[in-house]
Amino acid sequence: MLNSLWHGGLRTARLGLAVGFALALAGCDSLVEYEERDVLPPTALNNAAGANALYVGALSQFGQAFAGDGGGTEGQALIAGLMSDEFFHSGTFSTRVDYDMRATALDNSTLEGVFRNLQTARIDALRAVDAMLATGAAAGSDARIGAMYVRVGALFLYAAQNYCSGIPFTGIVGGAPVYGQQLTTVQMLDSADVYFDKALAAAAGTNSVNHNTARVLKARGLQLRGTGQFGAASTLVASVPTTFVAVNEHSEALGSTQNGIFVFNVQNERWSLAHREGVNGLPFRGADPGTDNTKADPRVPWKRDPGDVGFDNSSPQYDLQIYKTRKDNSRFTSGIEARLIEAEAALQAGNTATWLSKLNELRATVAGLAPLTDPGTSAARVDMMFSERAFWLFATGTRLSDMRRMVKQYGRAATSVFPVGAYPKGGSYGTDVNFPVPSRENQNPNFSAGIACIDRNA
Amino acid sequence: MHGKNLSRVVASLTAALLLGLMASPAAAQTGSITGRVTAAGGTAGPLEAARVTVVGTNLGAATNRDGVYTIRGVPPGTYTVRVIRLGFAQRDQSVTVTAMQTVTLDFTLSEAPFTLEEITTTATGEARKLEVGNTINTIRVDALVERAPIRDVSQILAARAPGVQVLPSSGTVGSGNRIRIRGSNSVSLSNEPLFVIDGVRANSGNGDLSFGVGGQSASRLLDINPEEIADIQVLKGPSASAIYGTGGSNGVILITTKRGIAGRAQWNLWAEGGTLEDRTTYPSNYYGATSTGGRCRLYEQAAGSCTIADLLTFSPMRDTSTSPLATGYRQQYGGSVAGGSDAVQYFVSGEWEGERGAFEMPLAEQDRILTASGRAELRPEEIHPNSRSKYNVRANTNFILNPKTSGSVLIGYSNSWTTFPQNDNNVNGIHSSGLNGDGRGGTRAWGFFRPGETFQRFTKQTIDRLNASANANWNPLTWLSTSATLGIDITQRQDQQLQRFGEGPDFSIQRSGFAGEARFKTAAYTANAGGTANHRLTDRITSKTSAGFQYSEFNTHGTNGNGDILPPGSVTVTSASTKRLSEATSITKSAGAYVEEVLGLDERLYLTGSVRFDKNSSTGIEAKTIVYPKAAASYLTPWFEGGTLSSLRLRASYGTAGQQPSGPVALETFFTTTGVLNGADSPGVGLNNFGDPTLKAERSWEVETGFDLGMFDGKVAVELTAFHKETDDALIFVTTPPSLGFPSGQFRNVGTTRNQGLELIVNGQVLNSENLTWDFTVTGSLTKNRLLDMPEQIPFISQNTNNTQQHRGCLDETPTVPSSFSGKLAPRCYPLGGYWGRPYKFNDANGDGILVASEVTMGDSLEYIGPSQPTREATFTTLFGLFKNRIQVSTTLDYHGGHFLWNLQEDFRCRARSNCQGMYDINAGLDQQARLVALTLKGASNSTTGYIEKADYMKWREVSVSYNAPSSWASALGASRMSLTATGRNLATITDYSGLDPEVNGQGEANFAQREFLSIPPLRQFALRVNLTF
Repeated sequence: MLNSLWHGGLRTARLGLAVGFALALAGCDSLVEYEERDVLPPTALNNAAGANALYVGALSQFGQAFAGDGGGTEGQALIAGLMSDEFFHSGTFSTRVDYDMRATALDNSTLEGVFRNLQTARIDALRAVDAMLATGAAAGSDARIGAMYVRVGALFLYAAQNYCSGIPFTGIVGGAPVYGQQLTTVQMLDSADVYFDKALAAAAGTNSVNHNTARVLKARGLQLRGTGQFGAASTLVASVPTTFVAVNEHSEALGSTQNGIFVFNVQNERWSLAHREGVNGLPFRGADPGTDNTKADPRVPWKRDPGDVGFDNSSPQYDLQIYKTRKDNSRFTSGIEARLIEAEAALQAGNTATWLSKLNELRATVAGLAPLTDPGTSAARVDMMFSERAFWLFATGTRLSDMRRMVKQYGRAATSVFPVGAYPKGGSYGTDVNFPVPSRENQNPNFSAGIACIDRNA
Repeated sequence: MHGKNLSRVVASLTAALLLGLMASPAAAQTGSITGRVTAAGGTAGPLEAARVTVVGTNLGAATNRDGVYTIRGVPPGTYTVRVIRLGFAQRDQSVTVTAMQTVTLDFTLSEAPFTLEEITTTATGEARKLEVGNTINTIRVDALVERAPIRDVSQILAARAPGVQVLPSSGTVGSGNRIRIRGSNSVSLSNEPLFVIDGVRANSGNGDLSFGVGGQSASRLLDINPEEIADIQVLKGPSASAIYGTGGSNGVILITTKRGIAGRAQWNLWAEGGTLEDRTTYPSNYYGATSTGGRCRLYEQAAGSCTIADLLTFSPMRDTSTSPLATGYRQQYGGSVAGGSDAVQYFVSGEWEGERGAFEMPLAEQDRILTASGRAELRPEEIHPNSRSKYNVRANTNFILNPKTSGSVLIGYSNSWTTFPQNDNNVNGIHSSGLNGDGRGGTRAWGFFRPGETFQRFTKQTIDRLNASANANWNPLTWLSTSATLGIDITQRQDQQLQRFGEGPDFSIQRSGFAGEARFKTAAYTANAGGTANHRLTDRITSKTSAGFQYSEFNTHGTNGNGDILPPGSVTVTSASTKRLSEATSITKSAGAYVEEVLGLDERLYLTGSVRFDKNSSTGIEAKTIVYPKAAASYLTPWFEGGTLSSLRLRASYGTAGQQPSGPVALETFFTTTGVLNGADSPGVGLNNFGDPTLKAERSWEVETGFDLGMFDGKVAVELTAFHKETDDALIFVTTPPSLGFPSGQFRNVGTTRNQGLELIVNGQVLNSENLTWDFTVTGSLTKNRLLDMPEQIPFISQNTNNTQQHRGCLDETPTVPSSFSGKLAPRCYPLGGYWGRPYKFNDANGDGILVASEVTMGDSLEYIGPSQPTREATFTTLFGLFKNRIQVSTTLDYHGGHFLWNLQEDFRCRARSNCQGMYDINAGLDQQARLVALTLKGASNSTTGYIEKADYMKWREVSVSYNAPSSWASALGASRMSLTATGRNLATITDYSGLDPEVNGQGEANFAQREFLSIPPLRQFALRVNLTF
């Protein structure tokens, strides 16, 4: 038996030896190597061209964060417009209905995507800055650096405008996440100012696009801080020409490069231009009943094809005509906003004549707008101020924060400013005046105690 | 495969074989054994394809059509010769062989329906079921396809093996299914089993369609022709599939195609034709009209703001003048020939099948489109947007060069095209419009677009697929056998989507025209080599040692070009005014070596130990060799030998296997994109993956134990198996905080998934008389799936609203009563992809029969509702044979239970379309009103919970009646045998689920996402088939 066992073992050993030798020849490591084609390693970007590609990518991401994309995820201008009275949801997504009717659940997955786009744009812009500086770009003279800083500032500003107090901003340092703590609205504005100031310091030329953008947006932030900052805001924008416009560039190349405001409203008909939405809404389609576009305010041009209904096949569809194609550049601030900031500062200072003159100077630039007259009362002047802002700045993401300011700074009740009453698709408008922290922020260790805003009031 | 790698593998295999040869002594003079194998009893006659082996050696042969076998090259000596054939008891006889002589040894086998001697195929070769420590379910497909309603591989697997869940998603012809074996192992990687065809890893990909059609997608399993399959074996988990290493953790489906049998050429011809029908009772669309025709909902009536004067209902899906559904058909024609000599056997087959699904443009719509377009006729795909045509050919050759050398060359080719309809989560969809219309009917009958438009968006997939393998077996010594296999499985896929200018749904800019074409090639390469040494160590102990090497590679590469805004009449991407082009590549490689030892004691106890060493291609994942061990024991007890309890085998096994993600998930990477700079499109990049260099591969381990009990002299067999399977350090795509932006998650080794369960098979032959036989099979399984040890984070699967499905770890339970023991309560753990929702209560406080928001109370937080995949399954199949089996009748009942299904369809109708019954009809019941109020009127607390319904169901899955025609009928056609079969599938459903069908999934073949949403349910299928043998 021992002999048999010996021979059996010997045979097994021979076989094992043969296979083992084969394996050694095969060289397993090299057998499983392959060349990755679809994605790039960081090392591919360690040069000026790579840094520029990061810059272009960041510009594109900012455009998505602001205007939305080719039909997938909306941007800040669209969510602010839907929760406020600019747009009505003519689509079917319940997640969008929820925030149109001001009843937003924390786990609204559509809004999570919107929020991620906002944060991605910020992180991408900062990464692009690091890459450009590391590959020889001059912070003081390279306009790309300023363009990135002004956009980072804008993203903090959008968060302050549209979200509750208590939004976190996570960063990446050395490739690892540094999880953000909750920032109050004022802290968000402080962060925005840091980057606006960097932009003002970085960009060459006092009238550069970056400088003017930084001035207007920083001034917008000053407005948000409170009425006591209106004067400073006015001073800051004084040098910005009225004709100045800051835009995102769009093209038809990809969904991510398209003008989402056009796509969501005109092309895909999920957003419909509203008119007196929820009792308190402004008459954005012009004279009542808002069905005759020859009576449209030229600042908010629109059209309606006969019988046209939205994506939901039931809501009347009204198409904004500010943008005519999906490759039209989307404006995110302008010299007009600068003048409106000056006007509001004048109103706040009690200088009614200057206020009215500022408004009428702007109106004079557009055919068909008659000069305004002083309505005579303080409340009516405020109404007029915000109405003018709403029409001039339509679809630039300012309306929601303006409504919040009316509540917070002018003492209006939210029920007299925001849409209320029966929601046309069933149910009633809720009470939201801003957007919450998405529930998945519970992945942030700083939210281990739960997801909650610091303050959800206006 | 890169040429360098291929040559390296081939060189290695050659070296292994040469070394084996060098190690062998010089060949001695040999003799032969020949004989005939016949059946005893009622089926007396020669038995073809019986396996005759010389025990303890690698010598053996198969009987030819006359039952004759010849084993050559047998060294002189005394041997035990064993004959094994399915359905018969194993028989051993002793024989003495002398040099240069042929000894005759005949066998007569007795019928035994269920035995442990059945041959199973393992990665290291063939073994008797008795010798394997696992349960392995074998499905004899060749016998099945003649009499069962089988259209594809998933229908072969459905309801035939406990623990194997085939989860269909729709009745769309050409769409795939999900297959889960013993539950879902992996949170973020695939849960589909590995398919191996004739030893070659096969492309079985789901979701294999480049253009979206709403939810359903194509599956490469549909390319495989059931008529070409001899049998399928199911290795259910790592305890059985450890030798497959990486890729084996979800179980392995081993498909063996048919082979030739020595003897005269035998021709088989078959033809099948039948119907495909959607027999669903579709719900009406509702509208509550005021006296002036305005809309009024019940809760608005209760609030006094309106009164429902007229309850209007209409269903364009049901109305015969508008319904887009009609009876589809299926036809199939094929033939095969098999035969050969002792040296060369062949099997050649060919088949064509065509199917037309249940969609048909209503006549009124056809007239409308013709009138509007001015065309003389519609294109066929406009009228019937869901069709399929496929042909398969196969040529398998086995050859024996000399007593020591044999081999096979197996080649299969498939060509198919499928047109897919728009449906599911899709504004262009057919059901999307039919179920979302207005109860007023007329121009409002369709929710979005009419069939005339929805049918005009055309999607087509064309497949060319070649799978081939070459196998060489060289047995230099009677104790040593070696084998090498090279295989390829190459799929060329062409996907097209087209909406012509001025046609189709008027969504977005679609009517300006869209054209897309994607071409992808998927190549799977396999190289296997190994050897097995058999030896009888002592009179009582046998040894079988196997070792080998396996290499596999999956490589997908292709481009997708598409564009919109076409000129009138154009159908090409070239003509699009806006064009987009993308390219994608995916490569996974695995190389492994294994050693396995099987020790047998007295042919009763078998102990198996194996270990496999793998290297994988997932770049950046910890580069260490992955080790997959296995141990198993099988013991045929001596306690029962015939009689009521005739045999008892005990078995237990442990094994590990794994899987790897595709792509460099461990590395920080950037994607390329386009941005706009100074008015020009410019190259841009963005972060694609955060990366984590510490990532490890995902490994699963499993313990399985059970017994096989033979009763009544083998007429009843009971197989009971318990398993416990865990995936530790699961590779989970953990959601990152939104404040970190995109990408929205990162692969991490966190958590453990666990599946535990029981499986039962009872096979029985109740009667076996001349004029009546009665066989039955009962299967059952219980599966408990849980996600354990999750850290602080909770990854969700988003369903777009309210995160209805979630992967959640364990939560500490709060005792509700004082505990009498001091131990800590175990935390409550939850299944992967379980349903969660905010609970609600209702009370019609004022008794007016209408619920309003104040009468429905919402819970504070989400609560667990239940699993999304069945936890209980049972099937009952019975087969009657009448009049000497001239008539055979079989039927199968299929039960799935313990799970829930989100009826998003009704949810959506209520929430987004305001056309559900609960919104207007006071007779709908308070339950329907309550769930609607909880869904729509509770603001930020709105809850989908009421629409997540228990989805237990019993399906009358299959029925067939076969008639084996008298030989006179056959001979009239020049045939030797003729059978006629009538079959039916999906004949009835018993369920309390209120949606269209509890088997539907509007998410197609998604890994976990499960919901009914505007899909066509699985079709009822009737067919008539004729088989002729010449």
